[in-house]
Amino acid sequence: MRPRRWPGALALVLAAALWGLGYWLEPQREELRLEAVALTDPAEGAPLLKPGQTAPGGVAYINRSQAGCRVRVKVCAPELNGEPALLAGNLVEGRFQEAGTGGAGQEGWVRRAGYLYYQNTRTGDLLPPGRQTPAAYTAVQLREALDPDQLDTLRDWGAELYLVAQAQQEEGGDWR
Amino acid sequence: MCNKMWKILLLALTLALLALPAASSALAQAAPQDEGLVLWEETIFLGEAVPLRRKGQSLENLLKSRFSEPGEVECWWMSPQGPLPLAELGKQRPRADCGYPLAAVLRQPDKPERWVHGVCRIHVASGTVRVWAGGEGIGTASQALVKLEGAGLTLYRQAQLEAGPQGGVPALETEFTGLPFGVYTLSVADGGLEPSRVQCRLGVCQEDDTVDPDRRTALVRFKASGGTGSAVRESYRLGGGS
Repeated sequence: MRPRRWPGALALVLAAALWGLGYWLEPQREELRLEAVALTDPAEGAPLLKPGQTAPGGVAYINRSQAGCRVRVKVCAPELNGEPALLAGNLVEGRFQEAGTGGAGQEGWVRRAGYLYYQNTRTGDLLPPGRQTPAAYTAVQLREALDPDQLDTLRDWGAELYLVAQAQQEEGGDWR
Repeated sequence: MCNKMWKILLLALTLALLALPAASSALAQAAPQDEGLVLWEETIFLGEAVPLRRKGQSLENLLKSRFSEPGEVECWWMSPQGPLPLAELGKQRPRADCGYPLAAVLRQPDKPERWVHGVCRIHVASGTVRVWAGGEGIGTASQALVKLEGAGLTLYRQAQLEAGPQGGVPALETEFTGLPFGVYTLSVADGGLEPSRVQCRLGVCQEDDTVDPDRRTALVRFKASGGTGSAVRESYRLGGGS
């Protein structure tokens, strides 16, 4: 007597249909894309900094995706003995203030756990498609307390600041 | 009259010439005697202190051995701030090749002081960490921001796409140079490479934690996992240093 195969085949078809349904129902996640906009012209050359002095700098971001997204930025500065040698911030009434520490207002940046987070009270902190953020910072300061040895050390390694931006879908999920 | 003056002048000159060797000998006995240059030459790793011992012999004993006679010997490092004990030299951590002037004096009863001057020459070797990332995940727009932490430092470098030798498979490459000895951790600040953290040693021997200037290069390998870094760089020139 030959065994009946149709229950097994039916189970396979059912499983495939369920898998397909699940794939179809899952929200399709679009690739988020942020474009960095430098606020200083690189053709002007690297600004000169002395300890305690500030120079213009800054980066803003444009959302080049089809959907709104949340944005955060990591400022990566060289550190000597655990202290950043370059500080990103803003000149407020002539005084240097670290980025994200002065309150974001209606739209701006807030420092949290080592990141600068884009905040916008009107959009629920989302950056709409095609829109540009305000500058994450507008000035860079060389730490005042650097001694000549540390300054020489930093000169050898190069005084460079890197900005790493990440975006998150409106519904949440990983920062990418 | 004029003839008489010439005779007196000639006599004075002769006397002076006769007295010169005696005067110079007396002067030499009164002044400290220089025994010449002692050379203590050593290569250290950036971050190390000036070694005061070499091959079982101390710098102090080496200076003392320059005197063949017994007596009380005192040694100094002639620092820019004035003479300092040799122990102070052992606290110096030079950042570049340099020479430290040394001095020792021998004191004996009823004899003039005798001096030895020398230079302690130090060569400073610094370390380099090379970063290489390859694999199928490498694309034409690939880049990665690599973070190096260790020896009280945090530095960043952007690894860029480099063509392989003889037009081979391209890879992301960068390097950190001028580093002091130490144990370093490398990680990727903007993703796209695996593993997330790699440790390496510069100069430090794993077996006994001694420092060897010959171990000045380390190669760290990552595997590209398909992501592309997006870090933006801003550069600054520094003024106001020495």
